[in-house]
Amino acid sequence: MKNMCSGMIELSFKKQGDRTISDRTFRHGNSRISANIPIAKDVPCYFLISTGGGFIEGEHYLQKIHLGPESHAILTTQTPNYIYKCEHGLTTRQDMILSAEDNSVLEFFIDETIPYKDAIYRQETDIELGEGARLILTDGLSSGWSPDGKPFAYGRIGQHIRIRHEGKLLCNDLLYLDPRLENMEELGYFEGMNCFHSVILIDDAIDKKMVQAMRECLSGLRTTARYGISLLEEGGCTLRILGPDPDENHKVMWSFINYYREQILGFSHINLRKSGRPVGY
Amino acid sequence: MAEKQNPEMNGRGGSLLRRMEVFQICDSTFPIGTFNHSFGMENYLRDNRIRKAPQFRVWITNYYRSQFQYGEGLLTILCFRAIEAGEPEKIAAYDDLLTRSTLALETRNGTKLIAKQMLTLVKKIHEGSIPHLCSYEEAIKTGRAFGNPAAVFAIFAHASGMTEEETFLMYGYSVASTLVQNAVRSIPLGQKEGQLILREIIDLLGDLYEKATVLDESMLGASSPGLELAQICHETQEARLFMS
Repeated sequence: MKNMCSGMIELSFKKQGDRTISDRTFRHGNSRISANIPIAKDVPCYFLISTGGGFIEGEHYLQKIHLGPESHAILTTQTPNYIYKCEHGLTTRQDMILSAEDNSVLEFFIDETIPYKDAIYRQETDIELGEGARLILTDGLSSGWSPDGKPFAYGRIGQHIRIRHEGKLLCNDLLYLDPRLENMEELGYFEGMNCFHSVILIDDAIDKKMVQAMRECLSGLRTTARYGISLLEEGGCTLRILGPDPDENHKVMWSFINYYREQILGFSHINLRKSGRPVGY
Repeated sequence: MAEKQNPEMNGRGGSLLRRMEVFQICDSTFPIGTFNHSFGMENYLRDNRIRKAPQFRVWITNYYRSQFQYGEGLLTILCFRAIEAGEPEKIAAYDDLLTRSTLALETRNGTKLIAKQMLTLVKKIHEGSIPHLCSYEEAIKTGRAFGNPAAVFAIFAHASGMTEEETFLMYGYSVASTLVQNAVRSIPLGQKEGQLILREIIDLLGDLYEKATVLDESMLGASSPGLELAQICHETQEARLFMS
């Protein structure tokens, strides 16, 4: 597998005393892992980096993340995920295999995908959670980039997240679009917006009442993005946001995440300090 | 009743009678509660993004291209094939997968409710004579499945001698005719305008079947952002005619 990949990351964490430490960091090819960024007390935080500034057509990336029992780690991509140089109709692919053992907390803030003209991209995220494990996962897709500035010039995009809890399917989230066949501006698709973001929270304690509190927390926001929160069939909830640009979506997304992290879990505030609006908008 | 399940009854009249059994269930007035659900459409009415026939046409077309094709449409095909292959136990697994792919709570609950009512009524009409339907009901009762009307329909259509294509098309028609009737009541839409749009969906169903026939369960439950968000937002919508 290693040799077939354009880039690979393996990260593993374990609880040691009161804190979590990383017990394996491995990288290969175009993938890099930052040093531990001290943004949260006693919680390791790593930025996952793609040295080419994005994925080139036809490349295949693999990330394997493991959290041992009781551990807690924060991971994020360094930039949005650009899929570029798409000239031959090849599929670019990223596979992420995440496992979080009993009572661990995995926070994985994946930036949005920005597919360039004619990009074909498949992202498979498989997550296995142990008893009592919690997950905060973000993901997103933009209207992409093209030389003439036209939105949605890309091809088929599939972003698939599958979450299992002790082997049983909890949530299957498959965003599948092909702007060559469907008009993304229309009702049902992006509806005149440019950016879609999603946050999935897995936590047994999330119920109707908590979702209502989350809605109330967001209701004071002034935003042109449209968003909504809904309970999963069991074990968590999801926030979906459709907005004009990533900044507007991030505002909603982070209000939601901060509320959950700080008010419900009692975690300290984090700021990932990413640079402002990325190119491609 | 016994005659209805007789496989020998495949003459011209017999075959038509079998189809009519299925037609009965496709009727938008078949009382299984579908008139209570707009599957997010009503959320577009609230902010006037759907005002008249043209916007409704776009919404229903994209609903079919996306959520129907990869959701209930594909589910009819997968369930039909599971029965053909002698693996009816797969139906519960597909139901579980599609339910957990549906992130809007109201859409999930509406779907379960419709399935339950459809099961009850189909069983009543056909006196519990369809074994796979009984197994599916058992799977729902024991928590192995949630209940999806497309699965109920596929089991029934298979037992009534329909082909896979007929099953997909007839179920697609039944959902579309209900959504159109719901639009007629709520937008409101003229009955004639509604029928013109329904006719377009009938044409679209042929294309969608061609595309769906090569898909497998890995595509089950694929969604598009706007449809799903509207279904989620309907949950907090105050003025409403529909439960979803």
